[in-house]
Amino acid sequence: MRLERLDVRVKLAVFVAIMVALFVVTDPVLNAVLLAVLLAALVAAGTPMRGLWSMVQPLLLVMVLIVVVTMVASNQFTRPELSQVLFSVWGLQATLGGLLVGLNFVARILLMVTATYAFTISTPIDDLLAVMAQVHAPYWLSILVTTAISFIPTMAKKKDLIVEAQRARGARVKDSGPIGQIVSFVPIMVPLITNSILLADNLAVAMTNRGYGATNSMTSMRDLKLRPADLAVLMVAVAALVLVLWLRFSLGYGVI
Amino acid sequence: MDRSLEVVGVSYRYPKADADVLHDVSVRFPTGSFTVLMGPTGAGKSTLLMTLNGVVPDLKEGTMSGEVHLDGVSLSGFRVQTITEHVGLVLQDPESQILGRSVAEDVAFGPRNYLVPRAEITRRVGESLAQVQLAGFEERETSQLSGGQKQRLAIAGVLALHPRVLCLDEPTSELDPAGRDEIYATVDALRRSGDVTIVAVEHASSDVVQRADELVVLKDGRVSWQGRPGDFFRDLDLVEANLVKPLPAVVIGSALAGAGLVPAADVPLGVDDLEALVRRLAGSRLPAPPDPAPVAPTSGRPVVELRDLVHTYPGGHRGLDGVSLTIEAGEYVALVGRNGAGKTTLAKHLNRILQPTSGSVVVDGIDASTLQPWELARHVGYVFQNPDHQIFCTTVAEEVRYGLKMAGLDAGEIEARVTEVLDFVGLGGVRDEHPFSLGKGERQRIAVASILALRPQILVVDEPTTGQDWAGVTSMMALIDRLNAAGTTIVMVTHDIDVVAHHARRVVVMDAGRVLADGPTADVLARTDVLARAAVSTTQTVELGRRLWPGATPLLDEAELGRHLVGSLTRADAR
Repeated sequence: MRLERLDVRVKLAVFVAIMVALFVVTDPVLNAVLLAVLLAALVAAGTPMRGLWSMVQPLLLVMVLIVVVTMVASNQFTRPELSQVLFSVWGLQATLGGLLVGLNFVARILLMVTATYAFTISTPIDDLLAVMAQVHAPYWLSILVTTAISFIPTMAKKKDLIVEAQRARGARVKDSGPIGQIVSFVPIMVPLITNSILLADNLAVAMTNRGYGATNSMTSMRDLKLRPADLAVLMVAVAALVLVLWLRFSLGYGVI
Repeated sequence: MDRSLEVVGVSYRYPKADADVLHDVSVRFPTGSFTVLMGPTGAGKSTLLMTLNGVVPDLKEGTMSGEVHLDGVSLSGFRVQTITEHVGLVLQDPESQILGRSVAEDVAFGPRNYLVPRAEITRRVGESLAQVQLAGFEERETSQLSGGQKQRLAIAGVLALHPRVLCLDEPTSELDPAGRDEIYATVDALRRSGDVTIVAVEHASSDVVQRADELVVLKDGRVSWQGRPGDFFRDLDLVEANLVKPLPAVVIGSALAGAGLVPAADVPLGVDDLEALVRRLAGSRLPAPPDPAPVAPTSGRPVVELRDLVHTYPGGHRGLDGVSLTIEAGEYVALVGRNGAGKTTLAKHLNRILQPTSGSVVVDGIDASTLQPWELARHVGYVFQNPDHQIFCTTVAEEVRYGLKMAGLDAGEIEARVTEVLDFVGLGGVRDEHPFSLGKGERQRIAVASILALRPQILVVDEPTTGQDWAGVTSMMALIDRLNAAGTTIVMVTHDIDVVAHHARRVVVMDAGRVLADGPTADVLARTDVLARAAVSTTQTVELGRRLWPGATPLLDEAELGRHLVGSLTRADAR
């Protein structure tokens, strides 16, 4: 079943289950198993996976650094064999336990990124707004989210116009390294903020003109309905979470 | 019962302002009528519209006296949200009124606030979109709409509340002629459909004069004139005194009236009636065509050469589809055509804000691709449409200094140029003011000044008159004319065909990324068939000349055509 068709509440529940599981587990092997199961499930659901790599790629260096640092900085493990020293450099001792702690962090990051990626690419903002309405979030909150999102293209267009206007007056926007970019950022922000304030002022009038605040509520335009497939996915996720919790707390597995 | 919306003795002052923006204004809008508000910038037109649904004073605060009555009931004491169900207001800038990501979501915003049941909302969304000719657009993303479509969507969003009065603040000021026609088609349809009262602020005289039942002219916060639009526009002194743009047909007709050929009250407002009048006066002998104005010689020195210019935007849209054009030093060129025809895309190649996909741009004998944008900025100045995107300093002088510092001039030279250029554009007196404390016309001139300081030989101006009142249009165009007289080559992008006729000496008509026509202004404006293909209309003056003397080069100036007609018709009388 395509992820887009899954009920947004089920997706949220699965997302929360993954987050709980990956934090109770401190063993990289079990987290790697969880990651493998998640990836397999996403591929089976026909989720496009190409975008995931572009999210993971910039994190690679960070992940290597995490492993390097935790390898030498961790101590106090539950099992004595984990204190075994693998090698030492400049008086720093890299332990087996440290390596596993580092790898576990990496596995957690990958799990979080994958789960977030799957959730965001498959969930239109309207679904989230519908959930907000259903849990009786204040209606102004969903209006805030919608208007903020609908203004992103408007502001992006304004930014382009401002940059063009400055280039027309001889500004050298792109050429002087990170500091130069920050310096040329300032003159862009001034008109952008001025414009946003004017826009916000108009927006407040425009919303009132359309009756915003006439009642303390709004007609809801969408209903959410759970289908059998949604329930099935939910049950599988709950069962998997229970299994992980059982392994972790009854058998003591998955701890370093 | 008295079915009307009535403003009774309203005065209003914005918070922290020194003076009232409205003084004792009383106007009556009968149910089902169409009233147009005109007058110079700052006269209080938008403020008056906002008093009609209570945004003034409720949201804007400030102090108001007097009352607004709907069907005899005072609106004071009602919340704005209660009034907006009856009196709808569409603001000037459609961008800031879009409240949904999809078209349907946006239109539904209003009725949802009143807890209208879902089925009824869906029905109203369809109905309102049909009223503004956007049926079938429900699932489109609002950010993908054109300017005219956004403007109509803003109207639909208010119509979905089923208001009895619809107030429109400059609904067409940012649109091309095709977009204006769309808006006025919507207004016409609404008028036919029943008893919606319409009140609109509008600068464009010719769109409203034949449509509106009533005209209210505001000046300095007071009603300076009120009555039938034709009576106002026939009185040129009155039009001038109120800083409103005169109708060319009336200028010609008034010349005839001045010579005693027609009673002043019978001066025609449109070209059809004017043509009939001239033919009636001439009888069997139509006056000879006027001698064409001499075409000014050009310098023969090319400053811009475009060869087979193609520009493809990311996503594959062809902005320019093979444009070749040579502009000589000292020329005054207007680029015209509908939105999206490629005018601005072409202009942006002149200073390399955009780079050609293929083809070449040669500026002053140098291939532009060998220059960086900041080097080109000294040859080609570019004044953008909205001054507020170009202003980012805290004083007027600082704003002008910015480009000069970027060019690396020494301090003495910079100060000399700042003083010179601010005096030239008439802003010497406000050099230490904050730009945003000044009016839009002045901000536009700051934008021009900051470009002029670099002393470009070529000046590109994008829509220099948009959103300005008649006084603003005249002073901006006088500034550009002076620059041209001093030797600067002008390339102007505009929708205002009257401005083109009176100022440009050469017109380039663009459509779908190509040049459709190119030549001396009078010749191009007479080719109405070509103009129509590019969704450009000609001026009343050229239209009359073309109809009276097909094939002859028409006069561009209505005063001149008026004198010619008077001259030849009175001579015919004497014989």
